[in-house]
Amino acid sequence: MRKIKNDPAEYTKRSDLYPKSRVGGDNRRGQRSKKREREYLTAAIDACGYIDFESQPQSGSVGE
Amino acid sequence: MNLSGVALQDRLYNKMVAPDATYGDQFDRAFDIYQLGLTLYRMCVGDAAFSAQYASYGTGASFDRAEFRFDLRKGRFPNRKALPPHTPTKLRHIINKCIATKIADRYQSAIDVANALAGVDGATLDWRLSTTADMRKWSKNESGTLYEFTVNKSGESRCYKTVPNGLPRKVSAGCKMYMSDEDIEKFLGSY
Repeated sequence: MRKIKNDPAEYTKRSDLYPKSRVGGDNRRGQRSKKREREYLTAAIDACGYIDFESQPQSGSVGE
Repeated sequence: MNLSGVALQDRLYNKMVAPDATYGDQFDRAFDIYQLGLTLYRMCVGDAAFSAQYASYGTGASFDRAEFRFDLRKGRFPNRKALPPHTPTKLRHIINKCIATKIADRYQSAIDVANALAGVDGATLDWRLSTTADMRKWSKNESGTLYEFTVNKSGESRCYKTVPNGLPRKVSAGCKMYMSDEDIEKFLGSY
């Protein structure tokens, strides 16, 4: 049986699978969002430390 | 999900959040690479030390999110200098590069991280660190021989070696009136 040599240069990278425009979060990588800036400080955090951007801010929300 | 099929993340685990997630809502592998680096960091400093850093911003309703975000973006959280002295230099570099505050300064692909991690080696890797309020203790078991190295708050160190069925014997190179973190790293690397 023919031996196949393992060559990292032949690996398929995930980034090779998609056109450039789709890699990097829709080309918006690192872009600032005022909404997110604001929401980060006001969004509710649950008892396990998860910030939930979908739910309404709660008074007396916890840090963790 | 947006028009390109990229799902937006609606929940974030604040303790492990990347700085870019505090000002943007579009994430890619750079976000994952940050979290991998932070996980490695957490493994190296210990969960208690990491949690203590996080708790310094307050708990419950008094958690200071603005201050936390500021420090996160400035690279002050987590404290890069808190890595224990036996952390191999290469691993330090990898962690620091993964948790760089600027996306462009991080590794740009998972395979780059994997390749860098493959290069981590060194004699200090076998030591296990445990800490108390006034003492740091490193230990390792090498083919049945137990090494225990302690450094107190003032830097005074003691090291003992115990062979199977034997009594602890002093290791003089590890018993000093003062050892800096650099000395500790050197000593741990030599045993």
